[in-house]
Amino acid sequence: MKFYLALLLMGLLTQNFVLSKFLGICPFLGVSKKLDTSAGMSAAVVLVMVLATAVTWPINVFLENNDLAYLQTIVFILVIAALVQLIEIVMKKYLKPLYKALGIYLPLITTNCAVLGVVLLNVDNGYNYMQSLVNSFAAGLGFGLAMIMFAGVRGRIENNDIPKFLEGLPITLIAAALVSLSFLGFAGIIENMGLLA
Amino acid sequence: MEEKTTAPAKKESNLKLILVPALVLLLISGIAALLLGLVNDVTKPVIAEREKEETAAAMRAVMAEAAEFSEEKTAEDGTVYYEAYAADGSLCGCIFTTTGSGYGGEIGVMTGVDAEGKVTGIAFLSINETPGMGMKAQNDDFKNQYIGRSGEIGVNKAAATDTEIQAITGATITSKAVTGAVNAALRCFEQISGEAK
Amino acid sequence: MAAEKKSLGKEFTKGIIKQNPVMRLVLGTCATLAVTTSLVNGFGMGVSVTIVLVCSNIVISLLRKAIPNKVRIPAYIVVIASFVTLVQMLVKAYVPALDKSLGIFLPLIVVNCIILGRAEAFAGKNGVLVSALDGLGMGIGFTAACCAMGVIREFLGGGTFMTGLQSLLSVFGENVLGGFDGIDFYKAFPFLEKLTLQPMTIMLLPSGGFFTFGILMAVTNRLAERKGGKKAELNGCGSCPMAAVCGANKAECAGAEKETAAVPAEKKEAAAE
Repeated sequence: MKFYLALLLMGLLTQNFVLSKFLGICPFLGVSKKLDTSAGMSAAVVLVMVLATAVTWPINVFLENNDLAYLQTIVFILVIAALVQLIEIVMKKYLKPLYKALGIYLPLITTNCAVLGVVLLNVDNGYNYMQSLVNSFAAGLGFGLAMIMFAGVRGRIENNDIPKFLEGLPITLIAAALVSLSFLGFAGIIENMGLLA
Repeated sequence: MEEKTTAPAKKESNLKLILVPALVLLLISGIAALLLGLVNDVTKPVIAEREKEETAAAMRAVMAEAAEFSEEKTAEDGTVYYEAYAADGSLCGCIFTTTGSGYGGEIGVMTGVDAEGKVTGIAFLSINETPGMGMKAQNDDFKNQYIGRSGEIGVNKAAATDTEIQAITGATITSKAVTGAVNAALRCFEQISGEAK
Repeated sequence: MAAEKKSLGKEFTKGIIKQNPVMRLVLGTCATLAVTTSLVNGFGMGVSVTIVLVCSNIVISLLRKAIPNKVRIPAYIVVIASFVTLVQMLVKAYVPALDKSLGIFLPLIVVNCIILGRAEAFAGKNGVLVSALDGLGMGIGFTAACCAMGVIREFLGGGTFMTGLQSLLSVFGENVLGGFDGIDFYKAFPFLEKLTLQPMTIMLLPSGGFFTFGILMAVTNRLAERKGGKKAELNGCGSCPMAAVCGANKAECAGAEKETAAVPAEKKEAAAE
């Protein structure tokens, strides 16, 4: 149980996917202009991450048992692409309101390196099925936290005077640097809580 | 992959429109898999050889006086270790591979312990800490602190003491992780030597 | 003939400066930020991406008439993923140090938007030679951006230059270039430490990556503006190679991010050329 809590805190704070692992930067910079779009994107990412892990973990066991581990990358990305498409179709048909909220972000997620990243990291770290699922969920939440926080930061930036040469993307990146810096403050929180004993 | 191809094509009534894309995709994937299999056959022995060399080099580094090493053994708690023999064939200690949880993931440590239970040296099998901070653990200044120590080693931020090593500035987590791994090796040694008696 | 030659040259050079994938199109930012803690790492990443990009562009361009339009994206992904796996295996076998320092970002080249983006916008519509040149140019542009990031972060963050060079060169044997393994300015100039000049470790941390990228982006924006170009912008859909695929959602997508995308316009140009 302690370990799951540690995984959750790691995904949210100390090993935040966006701010300390540099995964999923494109949507982080691209879709974080408004709060509602960033919340929608984050929800879609959490959903796809957890489902992708649920599907790829057993596949990976199969691959490793058959000495085919070198096919991991190619199989995972195809499974994720197919899965995203499938979720989109199912959602469109049966979950209309959810589709309206999340649907437009789904195609973007295939090429979101955070999803493939979390799947590969789960395998690399040798997590079991449950741990992988929790880790993916935590990573997705961490992504969401960064997105939503950053949407707020960007809202503030837009209403301010910015040196002309920093206008646009540069100031966004510098703001991201500061947010990332603030997350450094969480370093050691898990060790100090004794969750990894 | 197949589900991917049939899904978007579902609406088409014409069988050809479904079959042709599916077959083309199948063909491409087949060729790709074949090619990768071939390359894997070439690179796999090279990778295995290299990993073996790396392990051997690390073992020599942590226990200079040892001339021969036993096959991989597993202790009761699951720790992998090797027995080291001096040139005259006498047992001169054990080499353990343990892990600690660092800032950038798991740190794989190899620890040499002599017959009296003293550390003869440590080496890193895998380390992915922050460059300029945690990565400084790879410096000899830090690694050599462990030599000659036994029992339970602690970490001190200010200065090294009889029972504590000095942490790397700004990288206490890494220092603690490495120390934890070394302590695990020492505990495992106690257990093994206890059984032998 | 002359006109064709000229355009070949143009396709090659556009990726290096005018449409630099990182600095102008804002593609592949994850890799650019994550691995550029040193020049050698950035260069290694750049070369890996370039190899994959050129190979996948060639193959996709060759297959462009054989691949049915409906399955082109999965087909592209298969081709790209195969080349990435290929590079991954070769790097693991022959440049293990690079494999260790790039870590998970080596397989993640698969989802580097530059590669799928070029496949979709260029290689799927153009001839083999042009596509190869386009890939090479874009790859060099990406490598240049990674190297620039790497040099700055390594120098400010660690006070070193080109460290780890030998581990990258180990493919060619031991002690190439006279065993030159980069410069550690603190070892070369011991008085630095006496001046209590510490390196800015923060530059090696994630936030330093964002910061360096931001400043570099400001500088390139400035240069582009002087030449009469536009500022680099990043829009939800604009920089996304999947933009064309989610065609049905285009209107909504544009609604979500109201500003008209500067990047797709450039992309359309590239496609039209």
